[in-house]
Amino acid sequence: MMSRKKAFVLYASSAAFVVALLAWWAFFFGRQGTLLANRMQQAGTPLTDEQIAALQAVAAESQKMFIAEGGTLCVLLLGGMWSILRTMTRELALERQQKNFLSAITHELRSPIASARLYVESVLLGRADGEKRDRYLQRVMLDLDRLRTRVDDLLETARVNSSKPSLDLEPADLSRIARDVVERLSKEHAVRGAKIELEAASGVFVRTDTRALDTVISNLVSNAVKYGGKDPRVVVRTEHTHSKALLFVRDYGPGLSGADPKRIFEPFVRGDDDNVRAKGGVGLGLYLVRELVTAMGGRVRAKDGLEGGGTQIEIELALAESKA
Amino acid sequence: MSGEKLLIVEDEVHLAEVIADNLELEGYAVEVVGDGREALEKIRREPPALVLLDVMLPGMDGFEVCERLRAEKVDVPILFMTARSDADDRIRGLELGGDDYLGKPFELRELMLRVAAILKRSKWAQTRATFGDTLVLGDASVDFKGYTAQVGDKVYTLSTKEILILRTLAERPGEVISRADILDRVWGYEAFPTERTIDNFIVRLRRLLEPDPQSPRYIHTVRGTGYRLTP
Repeated sequence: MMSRKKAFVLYASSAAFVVALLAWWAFFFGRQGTLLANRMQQAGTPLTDEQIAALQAVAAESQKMFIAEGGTLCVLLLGGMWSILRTMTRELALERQQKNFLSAITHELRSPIASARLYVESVLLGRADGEKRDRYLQRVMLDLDRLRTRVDDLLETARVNSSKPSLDLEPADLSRIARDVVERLSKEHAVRGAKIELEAASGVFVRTDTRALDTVISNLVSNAVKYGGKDPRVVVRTEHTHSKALLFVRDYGPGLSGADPKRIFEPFVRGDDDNVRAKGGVGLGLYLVRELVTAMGGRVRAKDGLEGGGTQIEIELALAESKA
Repeated sequence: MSGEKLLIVEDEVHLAEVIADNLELEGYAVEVVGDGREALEKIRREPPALVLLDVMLPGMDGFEVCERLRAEKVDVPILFMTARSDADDRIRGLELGGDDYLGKPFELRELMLRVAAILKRSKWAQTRATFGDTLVLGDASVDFKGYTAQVGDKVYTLSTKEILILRTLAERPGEVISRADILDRVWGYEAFPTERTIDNFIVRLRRLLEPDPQSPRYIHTVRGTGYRLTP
């Protein structure tokens, strides 16, 4: 298979050849009038000055036409080259992302399998009994839970990717959904020393799909816990203006370490930073958040470099008529 | 059983725990670190008998840890354990100086066997050769302790693999040693993808030690089988 680089070099050299040829022709056309006059004079058919001038004028006219047409062709060729280069750059970036993803997903799926397998094998070989066996079986459960979360993320992404997510939008209390998530995840992450706080304004009603919004807030909170450093503190806040509902999820970890706040919502993008790689995950959580929020007609953005450190993700949704 | 010190470098806490537990049951003294840089420091300070090294690590990846150790001539045996187990990664790990490679998920018994095999090989490499510390081949003299070969007034440094290949041949002079035997002794079973690799090492050894590498006097090829050393 011809590599893209080779194809580009071939295209660029062909284009350069065509440009050079056009330039040569333009030069040749310009001289045509004078050359023709000289030849006729050498052949014994002397021309008057008027005739020579007329010949040169015709040649100059041809040259102008040629420069105009050739110039257009050059612009088209250069445009083609630019477009090919842009497509190639995009494809390379995408390929790199997919490779990262494949490598990450391999690691993320195989590690819990490898771990669970060894625990089970140890039990089966009679190398763990009593309390140790119970501990081993609990480890297997945790590994399987981790595996399930990864698979769920992948399936949800595949679903969102295959079609626009079809959401069942109806008025719902943003603060109540946020409270449910905070209560649930507080228990789940307590073992990691995580402290998840809620500062909820009352009566913030939005038009949303409750299940999808739950996924969005859960992903944001889990992400904040993951990147929140040691004994992570996460603050979930809801508020509203006259027309908009706002949800903030803030952590106090090391922040984005220079990563582009816009790019973190792209699929398969994970920081190159070692600390990020060490956390596991495949870079789908925030992508899912963006896709779901967009489908709800909302907007999402990340803020870095905050006073007190950390990252804040902001979700903006349209207010619904209050049900209260 | 043996009490040899092993170092597990693995950031997956569960995985490290179950491997450590099982190796301890076999009588090894096991330590675990979860970060590449920390592992490098630790190995430099007090090299264990064997390192079980994950590839995707925070701090510094396992390949780089191995590469740096080999560049610093730290010869500790390394068993790679990784989820990235396609052929390219396996070859890369071994080319960087890893001794063996296990793709995750793997079986406990296989891990135990490989650990024992690497340790056995490494012990053999550390004991004195049956013929002593020096091998003389005409004008060339190989020093098995100093990993050098002196030819005339010139002294060349030999790699561990070159020394071990020579030793495998020299311990049974005049006998034909198969490529598989050499692989087993020097690399360990299944470790290297091709027996051709040995041929490349032999070519280099002949260039160093033979007066005329094209028609060797000491290191002979036995077609279709292996090699024979006649001092």
